[in-house]
Amino acid sequence: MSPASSLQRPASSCDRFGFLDDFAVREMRRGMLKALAIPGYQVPYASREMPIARGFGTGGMQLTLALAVPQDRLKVIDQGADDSVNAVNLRRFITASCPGLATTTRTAEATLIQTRHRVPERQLAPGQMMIYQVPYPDPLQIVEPSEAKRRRCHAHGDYARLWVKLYEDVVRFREVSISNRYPARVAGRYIIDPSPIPRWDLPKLHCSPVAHLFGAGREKKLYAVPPFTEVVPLAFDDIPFAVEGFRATDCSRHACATCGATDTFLDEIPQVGAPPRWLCNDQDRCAERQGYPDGA
Amino acid sequence: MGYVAVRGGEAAIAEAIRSLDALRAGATEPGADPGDPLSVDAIRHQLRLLVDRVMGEGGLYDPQLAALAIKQAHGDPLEAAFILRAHRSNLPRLGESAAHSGSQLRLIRRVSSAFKEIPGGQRLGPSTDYLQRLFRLDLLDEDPEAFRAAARSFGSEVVAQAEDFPKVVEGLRVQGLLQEVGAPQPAVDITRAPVAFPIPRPARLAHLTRGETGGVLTMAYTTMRGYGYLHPTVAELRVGYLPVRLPHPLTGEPVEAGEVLVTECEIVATHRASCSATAAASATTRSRPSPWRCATAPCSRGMSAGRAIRPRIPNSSSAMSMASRRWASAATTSCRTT
Repeated sequence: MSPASSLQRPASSCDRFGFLDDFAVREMRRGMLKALAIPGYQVPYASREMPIARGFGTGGMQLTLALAVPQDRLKVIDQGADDSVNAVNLRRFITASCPGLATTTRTAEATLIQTRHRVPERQLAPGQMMIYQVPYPDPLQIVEPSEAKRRRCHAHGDYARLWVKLYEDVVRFREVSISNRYPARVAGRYIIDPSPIPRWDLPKLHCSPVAHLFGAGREKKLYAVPPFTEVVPLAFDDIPFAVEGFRATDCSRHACATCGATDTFLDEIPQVGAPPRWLCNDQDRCAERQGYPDGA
Repeated sequence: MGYVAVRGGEAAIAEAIRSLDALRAGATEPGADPGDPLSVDAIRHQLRLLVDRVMGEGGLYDPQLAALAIKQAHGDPLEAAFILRAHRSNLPRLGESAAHSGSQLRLIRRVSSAFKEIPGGQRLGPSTDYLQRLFRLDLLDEDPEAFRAAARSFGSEVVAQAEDFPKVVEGLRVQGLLQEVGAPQPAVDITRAPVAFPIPRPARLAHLTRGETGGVLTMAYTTMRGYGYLHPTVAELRVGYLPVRLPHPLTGEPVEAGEVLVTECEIVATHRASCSATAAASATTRSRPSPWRCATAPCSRGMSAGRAIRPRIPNSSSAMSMASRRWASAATTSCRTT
């Protein structure tokens, strides 16, 4: 067969369900089993090159593709939005390569939720699974440049330098200045980088009824928080971990300008010549609260 | 050092040139039909990103000559930029433009990853950011009619005038989150002025602008993903046509001499406290008065519009007004992670 004739397949179709070949799927699934068995441990994997650029969520995408079955219902969010270009693009690719897979924007209906930057506000339920796109899998990266040494630190449970970093923050700013990717200890052992979710979302991982799977495509690492597992943010006894307050200057709590919620993570939308507006970051939660006015 | 081991002088060189030219013409086996030569216009339009890259690395805005260099260099960008640089070497410097502001751009693309919504809105523009990298097998044997129809279907790529959009970093500046930037420094032509340390910012930017694309990307990436917490975010990426104004030779008044397509990227990143609490980095036309305080990732490059402007050569009457699409996708790819 000449090279040209081997290219004569229709361009749009994927040969196999989920794009990845069987070896890749097997590697991913084995990796995930190991990650679930050792909560918080970073499992190295080969990370295939995908038709979407690294840094755009290929780690999460590979997890989704290796896990999805036609009976699944997939939700893809980017910063809480189902319709951001990146989420749309990932969803487009996943549905094209997984024929039969249904999609949804409603958190309650989804079985697989691939996300960047957010955990849905709605309480998750058994039968669902969270998949995170991860830029930096290692919480020690901010304090130790050598990966070989970092692995040794994890093995020894030596997180001293991370604690020192937190302490230095407290000394310099009177608080821990980490706004997202807040390090947390899983099942009393490994410390993870929970991906760039805001502090607001971190408590949702604690004893959650669903599995949280993390995929870093560029850094070629997988890790997981199994269901009903302790996830404790790093904090000092006298300076407890706190989530975002969304307080105005008069200390009142900002509310979503659309649905009025005061119990959600808000986005600040800059306005020209006016004070900023505050809106729910989780679009589905905002729409749900309004009874889905657009029938979304 | 040199090829002292290779002997034969004139004959060897002549033979090297002859065999290179045979390969350029598509020599495969004796008697085979090599097909038609590539037209410089086809290179210029259909390999437009390669043309841009060669112009950037060559330090000369001349799409026609860049396309010719690419043809001559068998498509090797490094060699093509080399040819362009050698040509540029003896061009007279006719004038020096003042610092140009990115607020003059006629935009074809404008995105921000620092904010979900920005005043004026996001415009994705002609970007490969969200392309799925799957083969388009229909291009294996492209229908010429469909090809022409695709070109005709395009209206105007310019979506808006930049004046309609406030700078995203302006909002941050108003809130006091960005360090104020000093006055623009005079441009430095690094091909005319001797290197003197410490190198002034315009010269540093000029070096980066002419640097080999992969090399600059590597620098950006190692800065970003190395040790420590440095995660630059694209406050605003603008691609558009920038009118270039030169002082009139007699009156000294600025006159519009043409326009170049530039990418302007303003990046925010927290940085070492000794340097500044927050720094905005921007790399664009090297004559631009932009903040580039601490060296964060030099993510985007623009054309050198300032001093390398040259008289138009025959057959490139639109040399100044033709588009150059810079590197925008690579810039966002390297920045867009969290």
